[in-house]
Amino acid sequence: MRRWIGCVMSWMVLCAVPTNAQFTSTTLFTVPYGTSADQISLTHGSSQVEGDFVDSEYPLLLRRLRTGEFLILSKRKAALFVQIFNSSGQLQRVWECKESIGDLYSLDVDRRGTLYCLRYLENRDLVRKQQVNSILSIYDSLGKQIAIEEREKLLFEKLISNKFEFFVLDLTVDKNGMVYIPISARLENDEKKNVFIIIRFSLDNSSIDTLPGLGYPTQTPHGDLGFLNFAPIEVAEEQSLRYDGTKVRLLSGDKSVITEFSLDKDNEVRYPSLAFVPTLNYLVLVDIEEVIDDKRYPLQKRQFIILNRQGHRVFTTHLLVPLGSRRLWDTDEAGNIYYLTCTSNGVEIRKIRLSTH
Amino acid sequence: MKGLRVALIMAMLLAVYLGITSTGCAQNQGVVYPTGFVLIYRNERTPFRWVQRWVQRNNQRVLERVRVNINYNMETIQFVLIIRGSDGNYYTNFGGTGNTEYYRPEDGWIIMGTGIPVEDYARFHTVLVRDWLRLPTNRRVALDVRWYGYAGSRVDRETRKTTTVSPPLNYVDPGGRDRIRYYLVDIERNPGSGNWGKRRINLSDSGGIIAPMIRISWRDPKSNSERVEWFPSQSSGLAPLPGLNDCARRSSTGACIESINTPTDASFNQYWSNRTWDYNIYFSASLINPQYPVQYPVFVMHNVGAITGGHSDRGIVGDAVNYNISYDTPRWWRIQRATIWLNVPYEWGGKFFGARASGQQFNYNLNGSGTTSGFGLDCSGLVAVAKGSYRAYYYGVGAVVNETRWLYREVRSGGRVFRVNDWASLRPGDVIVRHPRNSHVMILYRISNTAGLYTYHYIESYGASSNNPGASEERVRYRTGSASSFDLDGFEPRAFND
Repeated sequence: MRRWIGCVMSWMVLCAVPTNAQFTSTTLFTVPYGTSADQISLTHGSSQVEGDFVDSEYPLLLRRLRTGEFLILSKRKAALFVQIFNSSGQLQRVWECKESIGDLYSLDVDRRGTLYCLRYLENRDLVRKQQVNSILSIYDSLGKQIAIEEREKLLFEKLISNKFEFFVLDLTVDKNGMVYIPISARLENDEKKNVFIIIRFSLDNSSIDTLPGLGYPTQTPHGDLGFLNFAPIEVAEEQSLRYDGTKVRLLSGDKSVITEFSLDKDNEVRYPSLAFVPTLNYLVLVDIEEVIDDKRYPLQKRQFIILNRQGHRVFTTHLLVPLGSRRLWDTDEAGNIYYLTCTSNGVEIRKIRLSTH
Repeated sequence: MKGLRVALIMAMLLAVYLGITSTGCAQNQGVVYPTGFVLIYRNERTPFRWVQRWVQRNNQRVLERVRVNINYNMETIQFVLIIRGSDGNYYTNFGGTGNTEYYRPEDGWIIMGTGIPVEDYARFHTVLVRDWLRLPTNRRVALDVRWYGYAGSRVDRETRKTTTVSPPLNYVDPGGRDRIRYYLVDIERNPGSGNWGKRRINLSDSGGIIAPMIRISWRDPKSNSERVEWFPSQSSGLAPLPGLNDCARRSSTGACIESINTPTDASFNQYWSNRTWDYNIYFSASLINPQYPVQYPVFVMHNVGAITGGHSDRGIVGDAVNYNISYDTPRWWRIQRATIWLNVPYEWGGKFFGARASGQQFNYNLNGSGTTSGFGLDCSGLVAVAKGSYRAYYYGVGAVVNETRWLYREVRSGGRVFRVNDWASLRPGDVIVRHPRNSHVMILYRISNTAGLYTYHYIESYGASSNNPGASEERVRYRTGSASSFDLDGFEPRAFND
């Protein structure tokens, strides 16, 4: 009897989490904890520090490179530490850069393995331009800093001419290495109103221009720039970052709709900026849950909620990631999702294969 | 008749020569040289602003409107250097106008001085300040007056040990580091030397602290030697400014054997060990703004209201109606007071930027008590001073949590109901807190709306233990964040109960 009740309870638990047999999450490899180059350092820093975990060591970003390798960007030894593993978890190379971590606003790594570090900046800093040395540092896939003085000068001029106020959202880099920096700017004819625009430039040429912000910048399944727009159609352009709760559209830069999803009232999107579209048929929402203690470092539970175009949950899974980490997940052009999660033995790199049907 | 007129003119000239001016007879016919200094200042355009304050009247606590001195960024401050002459009179340089003047509290002047009798502070509003230029040149000494300004502070860590300022060879801090962390205070000499008695200083656009320093030198006629005085005073091992090391060279025993007295456009490091720096600055008690600590000469608030087209002295105008903050409310004061401390160095356990340099990396003792004698502020120390609590030794992030309430809302997800952070309920003057893991607190001063996305502008005292590149950011600073970035970092919105 007791065994039967157990079976029923297990079944009920399984039913409570809607899953789809077409979706599976498998472990690709595990990187053990430790401080050597082929390990992941996860440590709590000095308690005599308040702020931004500067003394702590933990992974921040995961990127699947176009070579099929995995890049893990960590904070380690007060620097940014890059490890590149092949698909079976063997360390290929490492490098590090001494960035002023407490001064960074946003970080991203493109599929070539180039690291982009955007420093914090506000309009008042821009006014005192002589105090701003640099707002962007770029390191190539081997960790060599790329000189961008001329481009940075153009970037400053672009920020000033667009009445830059402050950065909003993270910078994004598309598959071609085009860099997109979302900013809040003042309207020419209304000094009190903030508008959302994106500054676009490339390392391959000196052109720099602006795009209207049509929503949350993201990569389309093909690796181009796209915008996730949650606003109602009638205000979608001006209120492009507003969350309405009924639909979400993936727009291209020319405002055409690439794909569209309905949103279930029971699935409030609490973090529109973290959502992503791995294939045209699925939307992945990322939810943030409680923080749990770990002897090494506090960990935060996050959840992937995968919705189909009708807004139904087709798969959910939990991640356990270091508090303060950013995007420890990525996709490939086939629509597979890769993510990092902490386990008792080390960090696991896992893969969710999405059904193409 | 003509002879009488000539005699009268001669008598007048003699009277002028002897110093018989509007004040009557001169007390001393010898050479007049400085014996003390007074620096007074006021906001040029708005010497006073009004606030409400609880005061005791006839054993009753009543709410009254009182005048206070509030300076905002982008305003102009008038400074007047007044010397106390060896003849007991007070002098300043009027630039040749020949006038005498009173500098009265009712005109908004705030007084600080050194080397003058204490009783003079109390009656300074009745003191007639004379024109130094009108003293005959053979009665006054030639003053060389140089003004310096506080240009900012930075944090750094030494790369090699030095015999003069480094900790002993066997010193290791709790983080395992044997080198010291410096707080660098940059000062710069203001250009120009003429018209030394009066200065107008245009405040920068960020708020903060301005600490004018003045070097006055002259040849002392008594000893026929060169005399140098600093304002604030540097005598008896006093430093003009926290972080400004008043000792250039030390003996092997640590004794100071050479003082710094000419900090020309230089940076100075903080001595690593315990020091006692006290200011020899006195304020006229009736003029102390009750909302401020008094150890510093001039506080500058950031005109947060101007960011959205208003002005802080009419309240803070927000990007939305419910983000408006009324003038002279607890919320308003928390925001405005916090902005005074911009760029002050971070120090763990620092509960007040209190003009003493401990040099220690942190200042909590074994009882869990912070300090008001440290050099910087920690994150909760910034909240404490923003509240007007300048000696809150035990005020940590836990105390902030106890004083505030969590702003949450209930959401349904997957058939369950959760309590989640309600960032939309946050208003300027509230706090953003992470506790107890990796405790931190920030004070919100503005919420802006960009295309439907709310950006939260906050001021924080950001800490980093050193030996890392982030150490340069160890200071009170402005930053922005979004609800999702706060959630990723484990923060929650909390409101004070006011």
